[in-house]
Amino acid sequence: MKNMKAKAFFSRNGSWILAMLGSIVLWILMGLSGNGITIRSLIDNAYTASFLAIAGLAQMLVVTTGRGAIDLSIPGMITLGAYVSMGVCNGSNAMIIPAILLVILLGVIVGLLNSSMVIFLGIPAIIATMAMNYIIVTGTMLINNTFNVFTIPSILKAIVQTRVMGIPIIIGIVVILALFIHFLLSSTSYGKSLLAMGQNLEAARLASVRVVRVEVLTYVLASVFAGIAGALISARVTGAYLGMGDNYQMESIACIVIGGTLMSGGRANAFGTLVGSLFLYLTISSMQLMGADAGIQSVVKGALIIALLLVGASENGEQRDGRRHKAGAEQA
Amino acid sequence: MNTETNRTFEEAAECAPLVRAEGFRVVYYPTVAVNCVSMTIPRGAIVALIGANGAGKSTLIKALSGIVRCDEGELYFDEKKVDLQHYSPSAARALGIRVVHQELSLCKNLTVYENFFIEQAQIVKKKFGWRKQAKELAKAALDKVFPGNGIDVSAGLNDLSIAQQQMVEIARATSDQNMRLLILDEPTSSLPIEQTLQLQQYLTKTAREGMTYIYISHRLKEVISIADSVFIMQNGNEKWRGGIRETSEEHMLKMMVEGMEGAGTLEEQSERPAHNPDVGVRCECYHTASLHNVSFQAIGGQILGLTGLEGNGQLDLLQEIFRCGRKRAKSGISIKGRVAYVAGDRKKEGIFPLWSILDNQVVTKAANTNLFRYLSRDWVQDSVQYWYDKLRIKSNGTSAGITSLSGGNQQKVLIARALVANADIILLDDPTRGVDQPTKNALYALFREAAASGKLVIWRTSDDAELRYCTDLMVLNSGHIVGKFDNTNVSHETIISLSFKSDDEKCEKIEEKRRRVRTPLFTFSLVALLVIYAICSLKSPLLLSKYGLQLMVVGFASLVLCSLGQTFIIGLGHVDLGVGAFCGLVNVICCTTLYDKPVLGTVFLASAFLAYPLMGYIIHKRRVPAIIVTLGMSFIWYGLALSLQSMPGGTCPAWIRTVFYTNTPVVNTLFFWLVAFIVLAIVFYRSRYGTVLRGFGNNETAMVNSGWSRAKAYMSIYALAGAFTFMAGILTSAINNASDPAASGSYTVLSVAAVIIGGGYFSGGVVTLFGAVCGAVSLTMIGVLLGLLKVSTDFTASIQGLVLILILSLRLLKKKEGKV
Repeated sequence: MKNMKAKAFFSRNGSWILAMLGSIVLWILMGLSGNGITIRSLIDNAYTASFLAIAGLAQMLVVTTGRGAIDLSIPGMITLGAYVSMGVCNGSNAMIIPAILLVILLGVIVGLLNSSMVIFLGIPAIIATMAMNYIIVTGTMLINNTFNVFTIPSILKAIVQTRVMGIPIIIGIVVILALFIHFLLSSTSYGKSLLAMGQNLEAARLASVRVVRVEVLTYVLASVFAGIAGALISARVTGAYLGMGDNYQMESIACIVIGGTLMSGGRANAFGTLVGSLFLYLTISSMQLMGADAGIQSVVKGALIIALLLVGASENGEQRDGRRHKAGAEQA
Repeated sequence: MNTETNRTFEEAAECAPLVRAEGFRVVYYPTVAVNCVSMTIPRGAIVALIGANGAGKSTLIKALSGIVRCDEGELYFDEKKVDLQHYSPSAARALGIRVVHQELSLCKNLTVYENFFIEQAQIVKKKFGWRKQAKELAKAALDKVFPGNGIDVSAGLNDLSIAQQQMVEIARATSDQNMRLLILDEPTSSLPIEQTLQLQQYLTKTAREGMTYIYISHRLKEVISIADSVFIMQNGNEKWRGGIRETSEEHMLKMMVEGMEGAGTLEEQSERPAHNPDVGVRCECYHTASLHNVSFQAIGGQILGLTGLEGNGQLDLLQEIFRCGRKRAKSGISIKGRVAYVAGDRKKEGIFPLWSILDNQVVTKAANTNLFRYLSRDWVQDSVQYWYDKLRIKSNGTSAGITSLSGGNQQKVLIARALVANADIILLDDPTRGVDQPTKNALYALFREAAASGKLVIWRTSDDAELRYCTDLMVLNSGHIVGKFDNTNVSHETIISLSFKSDDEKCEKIEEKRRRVRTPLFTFSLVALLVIYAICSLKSPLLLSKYGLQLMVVGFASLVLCSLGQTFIIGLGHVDLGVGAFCGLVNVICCTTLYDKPVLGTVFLASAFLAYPLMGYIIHKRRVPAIIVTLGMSFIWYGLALSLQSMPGGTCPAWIRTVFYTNTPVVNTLFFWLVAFIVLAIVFYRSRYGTVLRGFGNNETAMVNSGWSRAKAYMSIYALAGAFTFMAGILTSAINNASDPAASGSYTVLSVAAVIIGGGYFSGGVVTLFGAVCGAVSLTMIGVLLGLLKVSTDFTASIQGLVLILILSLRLLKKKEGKV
C-alpha cells in the first residue's frame, strides 16, 4: 500500500523532483569545477530563472486549460509590457503605477481577444495566440521610436536589483507569485474549475463548471503576468528592445514540462515551474562554465525535455493503457 | 412472406452447425454481462438475437467476434475448436466472422471506395489503377445488397447521410469473400423502409446459398419476416429459443419481459413523497433537432423515469434540460430550481481522473460558488463528508485517487457530487450501468430519499427493471413522447410495445443530405491566394510575367515544402514544432559541412533525416505527446545548427545550385522541382498506402482492426514529413547560397498556419496538401502585397496573423451555415 502511494506520488511529481535533484547535482558540479560550492552561484542562477518563472507560470495557466492549448503570445506580451512600462515611466518613479496599470489593461485586452478567438471563433489556441503575437509585435514596433525606453525608474530598478541578506527580492516576489497561483489553483473555485476543464471539458461542463468564464480569466491572467514580466525584465537588462521576449517562447514551455505540468492539461504545478526554470538556467550556466557554446546548450535543453518526458511516460504510459483497456471493456 | 423458403428450426439444426458456442460467460466486474450462454448456429441460417436493453446481446456478439475476451466457454467454428485465449478481432476475421457494428467503423475522412480498399486490401491488388478496382468493388457490393442505391462511391463519407453510411458499412462487410458468418447489430436502425426490404431480400437469398447470419434487431416485424430462428436473451442468460414458426410478435414480447425483476405491474411506491411546487420542469411543444413536440411537466418530489429503446431522445431531453437549467431558458421550456447532472459514461464525461475522491465530489459545489472564494480544506471536507459517509464509499479515505475506486464506487462519488451541490433537480443519465446489486439498491434508496426531500429526480435508465423505482414514467420513441404514465397504471408490456412500435415511424426515403455541391476544403485558401495575387498584379503587372512569377517562387518555395511536411503530421492529428529548426539545420549542414567535406556532410544529412522516422517510432511506442517530442527536437536541431555555424554564412555546393536553382530557357529548375514535389506529395497521399495513412488520422482503432500496423504508419508519416522538410532545407541553401541557423525559424508556425488555412483541422485527419500549398503561398504573398502597397515590412507578420484569423472565422461561419 505504502509502495503504491509512493508510486502515485512519484508519477505525479517525478519530473520536477528529478529536476530538483538534477539542480543540486549541477550546482555541486559547478562548484567543484569552478569557484567552490557557494550559495552565491545558486542564488545568481535563481535570480535569472525568476524572470523565466513568471512567463512559465503564465504559460502554465493556459496549458492547463487543456486540449493542447499553448499561449504563443507571451513573448509579444513581454516585449509590449517592457515598452509600455519604460515608455510611460520615462525614468520617473511617479509614473510607475499608471504604467503598470496600463500594462495590466493591455494584458486584459490581449487575454480577452485570445480567449474570444479560442472560445467563440473556435480557432485552435496555438494559431489564435500566434496571430495575436504577430499583432502585438507589430504594435510594439510602431511605438518603438516614440518613447525613451532606456531610462529605468529607480524604484523599478530597486525591485529588480535589491538584495536582502544577499538574496535578490525578486526571487521572493516570484516565490510569492507562485504561492499565490498555487493557492488559486488548489483552494479557489476558479482553480478547481480550471483543473477540471483541463482534464475533461465535457465532464466539467456537465459538472456545472462555468467553462467560458474560467477560460477567459485564464488567458487574461496569463497575458497580464507576461506583461508584468516584461516590465521587470526590461528593468534588469536596462531597457526595452524588440524581440526581447522571443527566448521565452520555447523556454516557458520547457520549464513547465520539466516542472511536471501536463501539456494535455488538467494538472499544473506552480512550484515545479520554479524548479523547472531554475534547472534550465543551471543547465545553461554549468554548460557555459564548461565552455559549451550556445548550440550545445540548446541541444542539451532539447534532450532534457525529451528525456524527462520519456521517464515520466514509462509509468503513465502503462497506466493509460490499462485504463484504456478497462474503458473499452466497460463500453462493451 | 417467405414461408416456402423458411426451413423449420429442427430441419436447420440437422445440418452440421457452423458455430457452436458453449457456456459463454463474460464478466465485467462486478456485473455478469453474459452468464453461461450456449448457442448453435446452423449453416445457412438467419438467427435473430433479441432481448430488452442490457440483456447481454451486444456482449455476446463482442465475445463471438473477439472484441471482448470470454471468461469461460468454448467455441467451435466449422467443427474445429477455436483457441479463445488467443482470440482477437483479426483471428475472427481470419475464420470468416464479420460484424457490422452499431457504431460505424468507417474512416470519415475518406471516400466510399477508399473505405472499401482499407478493409479489403487483399482484393484490391493492383498498384496502378487500384482506385478503379476499388470503385468497382464498392459499386458492385453496394448494388448487390441495395440495388439502385444512388450512392456515389467517389463521395466522401462525410457527405453521406447516416443511412447511407450504414449501407456502406453493410455492403463493405458483404464484399469480403472469405466471410462465413456475418453478425449484424441493429443494421436497420437508421435505414429507410425500402433499403430495409432490400437488405432482407439479400439476406434471405444469400442464406439460401449458404451464408450464415446473426441478426440483432429491436424490430420484431423484421425478425419475423426474415429469421429462421430466434434466440431471446434476458439478464445475460438464454431465455428462449426456437424456430420462427413457433413464435409470434406477442410471444417474443412476452418472453423478453416475463420473469424480469419487477415484471408485471410495477410495484407501487410505499408512500408517495409530497410534491414540492417550487421545483419543476415544464416543456410545451418543445422542439430540437432530435426532440419533437415534447410536452410534459414534472415537479419536485417526483422521480421521473425516461425510458424507451436507446437513442430515441431520452439522452437529448436530459441534456437539453441541463443546458436550459444552466443558461437562459429557451421558449417552450421553463425550469425552476438548480440543476445538476450525473453522467452515465463515467470515463468519458464523469470523473476527473487526475483528482482525489474529495475533489471529484466537491467540484460542482465549488464551481457554483464565487470564482475567487477561498475554499478551505475544512470547507471542502465538511461539504463532502456527510454524503461520503452516507453513501459508504469504499476507499482509503477521501484523499485517495478516484481511479483507485471500483466502477460502482466511482458512480457513488458522481451522485454525491450532485447531492453535495444541493441541486434541486437531479438529472441521472443511466447512473447504475455496470454497478453491482447492493450498490444499486443503495442508490435507489438514495434517489427516493432525494425525492422525498422535495427534489425532482429525472432518470434515464437503460435497465427496464429500474422503472419500478420511479414515480412517473415517460416513454420516448424517435424523439416523441409516446407514453406518460403514473407508475400505478402501467405494465412492462405496455412500455416495451410502445418502445418497439416503430414501423409507422420509419421514414419513407433516405433523407437526402442537401445536394449542394460541396466546396473542396482548399477553396478558401485558393480564393485567398487568387485575390491576393490579383491585387498584387494590379499594383505591379510585372508579377504576371514569367520573371515576376519566378521571383515569387523563390520567396515561397521553402515554406511550401515545410507546409507539405506539416500537412502529413497534422493529418495524423499531431503537430511538428520542429519544422523550422530542422529546415535550418539541413540548410546549415548543406552550406558548411557538405561544402567542405562532402562525405561527412552526407553522413550528417542522412542521420538527421533518419531521426524523423525514429521520432515517429518513439511517439508510437511510448505514447508520448508529439508536440513535446518535436518541441524538444527543435531545440536539438537549432543547437546542432548553431554548433556547426554560429553566424550566417557558408556556401552552397555548386552542384546543388545547378540542380535546384538554375535558369533554363524554359523555366528555372526551382520551379520545376517545386511542382514536382507538390505533385509527388499529392500522388503519394492518393496512393494505396497514402490512403491508409490518411485513415490512421481519422480512426486509428478501425485501421488497426483492419490489420494495418500502427508503428509502420507512424514511422512512414514522420519519414515523409522529414523528407519534405529536408528538401525545404536543400532548396533554401540553393536559393540563398548561404545558411543561417535561425532564418527558417518562422516556418514552424507559418507551416501550421498554412495547413489550417488550407482547410485542415487539428483532429480527424482532415487536411489537404493542395490547400496547404495555397495557404503557404498566400501567407508569403501577403508580404509581397504589403511591399507593393509600400507598407513597411514591420506590418507583414501582423497582417499575416489578421488574415489568418479572418480566414478561420469565415470558415467557421460557413460551417455554421452548413449546419442550419
